[in-house]
Amino acid sequence: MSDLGELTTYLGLQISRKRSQRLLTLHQAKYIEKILNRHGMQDARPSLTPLDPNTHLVSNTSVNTTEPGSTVVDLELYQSAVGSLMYAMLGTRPDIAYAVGLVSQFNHSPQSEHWTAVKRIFRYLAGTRELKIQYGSTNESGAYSDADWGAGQDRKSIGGFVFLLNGGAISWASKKQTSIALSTTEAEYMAMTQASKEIIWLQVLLEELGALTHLEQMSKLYGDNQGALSLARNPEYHAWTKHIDIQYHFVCELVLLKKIYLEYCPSIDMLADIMTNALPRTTHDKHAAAMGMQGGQRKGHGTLHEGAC
Amino acid sequence: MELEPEGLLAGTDEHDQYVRYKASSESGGTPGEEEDEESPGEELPPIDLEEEDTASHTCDEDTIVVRPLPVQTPPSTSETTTTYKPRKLLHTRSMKELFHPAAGQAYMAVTEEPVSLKEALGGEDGREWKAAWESEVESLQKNETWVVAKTPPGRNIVGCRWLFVKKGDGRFKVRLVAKGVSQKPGIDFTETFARVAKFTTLRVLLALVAENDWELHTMDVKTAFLNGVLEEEIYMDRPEGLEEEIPAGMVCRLVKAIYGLRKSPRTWYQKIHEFFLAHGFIRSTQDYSLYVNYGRRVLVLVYVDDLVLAAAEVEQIE
Repeated sequence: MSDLGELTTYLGLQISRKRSQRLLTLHQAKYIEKILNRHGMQDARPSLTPLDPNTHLVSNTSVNTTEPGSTVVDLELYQSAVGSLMYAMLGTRPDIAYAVGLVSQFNHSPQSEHWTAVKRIFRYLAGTRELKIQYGSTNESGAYSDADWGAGQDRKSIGGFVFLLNGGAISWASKKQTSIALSTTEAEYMAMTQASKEIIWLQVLLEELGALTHLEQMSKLYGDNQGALSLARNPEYHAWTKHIDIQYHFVCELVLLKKIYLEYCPSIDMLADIMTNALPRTTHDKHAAAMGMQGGQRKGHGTLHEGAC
Repeated sequence: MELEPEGLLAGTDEHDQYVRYKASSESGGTPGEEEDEESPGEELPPIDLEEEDTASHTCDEDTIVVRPLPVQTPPSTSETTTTYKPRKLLHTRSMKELFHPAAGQAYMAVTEEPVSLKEALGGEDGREWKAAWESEVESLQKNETWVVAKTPPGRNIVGCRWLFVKKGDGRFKVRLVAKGVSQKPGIDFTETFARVAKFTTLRVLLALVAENDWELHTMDVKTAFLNGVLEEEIYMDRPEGLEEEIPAGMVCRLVKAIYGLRKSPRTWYQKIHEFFLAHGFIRSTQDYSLYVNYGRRVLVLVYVDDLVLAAAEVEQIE
């Protein structure tokens, strides 16, 4: 075994520290450079957000993709591009999680509008290669969960969560829910369940790592839907929750056991919003910053019209 | 079905395991043809032999290629001309380069690394390659990687080859890899699962390290897999260049888990797990790649042979 000194890269993540200020930053500039080159996007015109809030992508089921020439987008190219983005997202880029989740829903039969969306994520990365997650600039910790009700073409909702520790995002997810929610409350309730499973895992991990001071912060789960919060706090018999599957009452139990405390967070500050929606630029930047993401001088910032992206 | 080399590295006999085959274009145009193909004709990813850089590649979806593909060796002749028929697809700039019509032989230039011992030693960097190769042979012998045995009747003999990689910093690396894909589940190996670190664990660790101003170091284990002792009986062909040491009709019975075998990563994990337990570490119940030593206040995160160490005091990092 040999000691190679200070840790600077691990699994493609680049790590740098300012120990005097107790700051640690994490980014993937090298990997992003590599995938931009691989897909010929290195000189692409940067975009300010990963998704256009005004376009709604749907899958075109009327096209028979098994027929040669029926699709303009090469299947393998599309899937490998989405895969490249996925790895970036998993490492240090929670800001593209929703966008990557969305484009990956069309992996089976991509059309040209889906490819345009993929290229836009690349364009966004091209402008934000250096965007970093920074730990230590604030001591913000906590868990946020959010849902976008009935957003998909199939009317399933998108649920998502972001966890912060020491001022930076440590865990995030954006996932289409498996069953259809009948109201925003239900959608949020299911998203909270998804988040609480992760919280429990994280709490034990923090305990094992001896970070007991963070345990309390990590037991706070923020939601922005009062209905879902009251439902979880007080699981009275409501006729309209009868059909919510047993698993979603998981969160109720955790609240009763005092493993999780639910808190209200107004939608405007709900940073898990970035996991469930295509946001306009100002909100996108605000939430990204709240996740501890900073740096990444946007190239061509002054030359872009806001409307053009 | 008639097979035809698609282009990658075609035209040399030594590295046919990297050549992808696709149905010859005469039978093309059938529905579902695209899905049947193994993978797109992308250029070979850098074959990563070494520890520090596993990062960018090991997790990459494209590293699968590092392992030789199952070979159905066609009569490979150096005259094989690769006919390239562009498929109808969306072209990006990088693809244009990749599918340049003259590319049939030009792929050789893309992958600068030699593909056989003969080619390496005869090439322009012959001297450097020879030194690197000898160092690998020495390492294999020092670790008593195999014992010479008679060819056992009815046993699967795993092939092997030398991998040559020029590192970014100009170093030359040679490694012997087994063609693990020819191993049969249930006969040549059983369990292959080897855990990998979760990104979340790493980020939690980093957030805490930043907060408490801990030391953060990285370590690698040289030829890590050679530390793992195989439980199964595995026979391997004589490696190229070692014909003198191993007489004809004899094969190598592997003692150590060499790179490329299906079970090597798992064997290595068992080894390193025992090592940590012996040194007072406790494995996390939440992430099996995390080890904690409470007495010394040291945390270790394991990703194959890449280790991250976090400790309160620098002296504890041994």
